[in-house]
Amino acid sequence: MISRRHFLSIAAPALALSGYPVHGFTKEPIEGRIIVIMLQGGMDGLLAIPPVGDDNLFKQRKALVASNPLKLNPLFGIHPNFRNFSKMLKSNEASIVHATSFPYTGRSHFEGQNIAQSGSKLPFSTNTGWLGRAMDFAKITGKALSLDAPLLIRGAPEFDNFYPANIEKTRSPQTALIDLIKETHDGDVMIAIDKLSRGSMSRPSRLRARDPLSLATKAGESMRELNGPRVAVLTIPEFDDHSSIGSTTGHHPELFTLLDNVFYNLKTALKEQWDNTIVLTTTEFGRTVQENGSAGTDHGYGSVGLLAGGLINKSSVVANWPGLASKDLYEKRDLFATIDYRSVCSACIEAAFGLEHDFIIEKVFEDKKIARIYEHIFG
Amino acid sequence: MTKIKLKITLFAILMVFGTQVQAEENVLCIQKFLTKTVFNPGPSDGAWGKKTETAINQLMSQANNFEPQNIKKSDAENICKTLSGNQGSKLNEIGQFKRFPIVITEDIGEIKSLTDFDFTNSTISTNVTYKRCVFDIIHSEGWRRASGTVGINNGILVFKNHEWYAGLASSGREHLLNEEANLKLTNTGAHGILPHLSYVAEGEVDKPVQYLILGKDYIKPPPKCYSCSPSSLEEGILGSNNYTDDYGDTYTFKISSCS
Repeated sequence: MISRRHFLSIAAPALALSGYPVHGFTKEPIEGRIIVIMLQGGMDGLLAIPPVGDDNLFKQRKALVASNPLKLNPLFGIHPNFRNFSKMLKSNEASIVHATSFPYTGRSHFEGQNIAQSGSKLPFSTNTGWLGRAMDFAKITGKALSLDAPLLIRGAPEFDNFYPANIEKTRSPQTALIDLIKETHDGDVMIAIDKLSRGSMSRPSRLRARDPLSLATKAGESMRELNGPRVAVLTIPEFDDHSSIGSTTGHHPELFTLLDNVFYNLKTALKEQWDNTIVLTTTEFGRTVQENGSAGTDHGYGSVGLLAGGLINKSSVVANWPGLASKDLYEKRDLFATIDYRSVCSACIEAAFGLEHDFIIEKVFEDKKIARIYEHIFG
Repeated sequence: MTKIKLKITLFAILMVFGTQVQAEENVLCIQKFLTKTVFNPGPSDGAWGKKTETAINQLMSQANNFEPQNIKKSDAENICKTLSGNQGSKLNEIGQFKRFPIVITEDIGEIKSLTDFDFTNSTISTNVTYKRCVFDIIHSEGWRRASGTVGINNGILVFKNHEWYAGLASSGREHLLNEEANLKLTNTGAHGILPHLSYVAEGEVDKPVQYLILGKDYIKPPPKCYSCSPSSLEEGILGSNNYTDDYGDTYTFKISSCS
């Protein structure tokens, strides 16, 4: 068994743990766990969870639908690479929220990722994250060992509590730099960089992409301990596929496999604590409904959220489906987001930390208009 | 007598009309409620139509764990009372989002592993017998994926202790990332589970089992080697055998330092 100190020395940039209990400040007994998997770059929700019952899907993006999606119900299917997740759906341990997004339509990675972590409507309007604030209000406190933590789990200054995460050689400097360059460019320049980076490196993504699997196991092992952390944040980058996104196979499907195995590893490592856990994905935005000229998709609006964990009682797809006809799209190009993803975040906080919805939306998100979706996910 | 008949007729008409009006009010009550949800009842006109019936049945089904409902116009009064009562706010909350139940009828199938490993029935050479050798599995870019010791009994691999490397810990300095191996040893080979794909506690065996298959490029090593350098990993005391996984990544399986 790995020690906490050892864990801290090996955790990768893609993982941050938080919420170790400090006696006298933490509610007993410890129960719910929240694990956030940040899918950076903008996951294509229509490729992951294709609305196969919507005829317009095939009219809009015939080449970008997996040939053999697993059918979930008359409207939705799931990409075949989500086998573990599909089994969780079948056993009522997972759910999907579709046509959803954080309240952001600007299509900038920087701004979108900031909003996805801060939970605010305006980018860079706060220096704390929604999960960190929720931990503070739930009195899940711990020691601050470093300031090098994702915004998501940064709380109010007096409650800063997170653990650093750093490891060598888990991400090559080249790809990190290229990702940074991509995030600062748009349009043809970004597509060109995307192509160049693919060509210049020998499948670095998949090799590196295996790392979150180890981290998921480490996170699960650590969190299953009675006094282990109650929050973990994992990052899977590289969803920004402006070219050659793939359909049945390809880059996005490979990332689906990776994400699928992260879910599997978390469940396996958490063991009995899985019953007290909710895992949710976040992404800064979805991608365009139609493919671009490079067999990829560009920055969009609505996407999908995947949730799994023992706190779920009944699997379902939650969606106020807006349709994919051109007239139904946001600015005639993006899947409309009809569900504010902060509702999903609120529900997870409610389920894992026991805070009430009205309190969460007022104190954590400072937006009383966020609807309660708890019953749809956990009911 | 005629007056009495007229009064009775008027009374009957009023009764029927009154009931009709009441019924329409109940339908209207349901429709107005539904217009504040995502279940579209059509126009709020007090008329019980297909849209209204579908919408209220969908809402109540969703509120009752997807149990099928069969609400008809004759139920409108009771439904209206429910919607106007204590459960109204709860039903309104449920009605803000649609839930689609999951009904998976297809076979999800076995999980396909990223990399297949299977030593079953692999024979190095029928003439080779060593009690103890070192083996390594190294990615073409230099990442060490596994290492350990293996015996060779008349050319058949018999794995002993071993460990797999999680993540990209390739330098050997980050020993904390080294996982306990979870190879299932058999007389004819080893069924391995890569810990970075599937965590399995020491001593346990879990599915999906992953196999390492020596590929078509497998080259049988020379039958004997009496002068092998203990550290000649590059040479490979029994030859270096390359194989390619499903994604085109090439690995080298090397055996050295036999005794």
